[in-house]
Amino acid sequence: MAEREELEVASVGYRLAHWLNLILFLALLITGLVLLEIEVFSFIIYPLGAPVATLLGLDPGTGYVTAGVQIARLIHRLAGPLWGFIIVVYVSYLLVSGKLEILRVLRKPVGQQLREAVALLNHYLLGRELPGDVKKGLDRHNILATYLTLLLALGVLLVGLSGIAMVYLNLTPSQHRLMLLLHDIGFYLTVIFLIGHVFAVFHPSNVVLLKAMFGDGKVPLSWAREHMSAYVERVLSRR
Amino acid sequence: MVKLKFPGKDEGVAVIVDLDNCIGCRACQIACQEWNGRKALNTTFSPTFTNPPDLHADAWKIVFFHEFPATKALKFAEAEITINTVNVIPVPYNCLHCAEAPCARACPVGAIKVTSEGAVVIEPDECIGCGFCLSACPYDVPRRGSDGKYYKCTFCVDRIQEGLRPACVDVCPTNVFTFTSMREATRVAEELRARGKKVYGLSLDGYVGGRVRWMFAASEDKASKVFQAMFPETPRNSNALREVLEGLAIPGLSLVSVLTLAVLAITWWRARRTASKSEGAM
Repeated sequence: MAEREELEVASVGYRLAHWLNLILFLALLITGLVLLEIEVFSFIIYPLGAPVATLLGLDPGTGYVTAGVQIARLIHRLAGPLWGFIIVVYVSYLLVSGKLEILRVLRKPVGQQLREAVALLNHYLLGRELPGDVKKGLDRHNILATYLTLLLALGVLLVGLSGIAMVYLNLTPSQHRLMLLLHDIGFYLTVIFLIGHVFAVFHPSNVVLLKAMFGDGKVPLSWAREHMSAYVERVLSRR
Repeated sequence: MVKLKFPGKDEGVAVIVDLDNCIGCRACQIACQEWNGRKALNTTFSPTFTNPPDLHADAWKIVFFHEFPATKALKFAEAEITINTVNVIPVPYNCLHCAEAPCARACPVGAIKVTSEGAVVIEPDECIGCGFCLSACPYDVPRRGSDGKYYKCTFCVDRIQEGLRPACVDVCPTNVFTFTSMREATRVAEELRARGKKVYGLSLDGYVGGRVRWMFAASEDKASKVFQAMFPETPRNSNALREVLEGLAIPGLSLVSVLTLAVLAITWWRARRTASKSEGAM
């Protein structure tokens, strides 16, 4: 009976992919910040560089930074392709198996999407109740999550392609600086996604989802009926 | 912490390169190579006298030879003979040592030091070979060496700090280079300009700090042929946009993050208050 009261919203594969995304994204974010602006973020690499510089007998005045940034750069260049590979494999799997739920809401007319987006923003930011029709039409992922994901996809595409070009291609200086610019733009877009994502998952309305993602992947059915009713109906009708 | 500080615009040293005096002997090129202990490079044949054909990790100063078709007339008593020939303009070229060097700003390890004299120097022991300096440089100066690190002219700062002039300046037989203080160089450059010469490097884009420490002067004719090819009027590239974005994004996104956390805190407080009110009502 208790099993019927829960609904799986994140499969094992989904959670595993999320964990890998989280670890690799954080690694890329931290090391990328160091490479982006050393004057602001040099404090990050001292714990990384100090032991290595000491081990190599480098001058503490400059060696900590040099060793730290070199390690950060190495991690960045290893984590980047690995993250890209995982994303390509996972997205390909979702596309082939028809499980790319996050894009489903884009089938709705644009006017309806925007109305839902405004209603959701009012709900999240001002605590207003969702209109009945919006509530009824909520799917596994709401329209704001989908828009954020599209932003992430664009960001990942930019950092991915420019990163590959910078590491693996023999670029001219002007090509290299263009790739650096695109890499930065892609990075800022992914950070905007991250801020939106963190806000959404830590919001009191959605914290159940956060627990599911880092727990057994299941949410109470009553909560699901409230927050993703269209999805629940679809899943239950399949059973 | 890594902190970068540029000397003031009128502080430090500078060089004026008067191209009208240059005979293309390449003594400066050799002196640079010798003083800095760079290995000799194999001769590469190219359409011009320039050799090596471009700046290199082992060739920090190159005399570029610009060739232009010219017609010369030989007058005799009986007749005048017109000859089609080539005019060669030699341009001794190295890092221009920007007043606020973009390469130093771009280096993620702070390996590019700017001395109190204004010399922009890559410290090889600290260079990690990322190439951000080359990307940032509007003149494409730094070059990657076989060890993966980047190299360029140091302004012979080791000589300057010992009271000597840069090696290239010292050997020039025709006084092409005037090595002096930045203040005096500015005065001389303005004087040359008043005498009808074109001067490059005195009033440039803010991306390089408005001026460079290696300024080039030439007669109008020579300058019209050479300056356009070698010295961009607006020395900036897409890295300038990177810097603008960075200046907006880092504080902007930090602020948005803080505001997001604040809004989250308010929503949690509101949710708890609503929950406790409903419990009280029950």
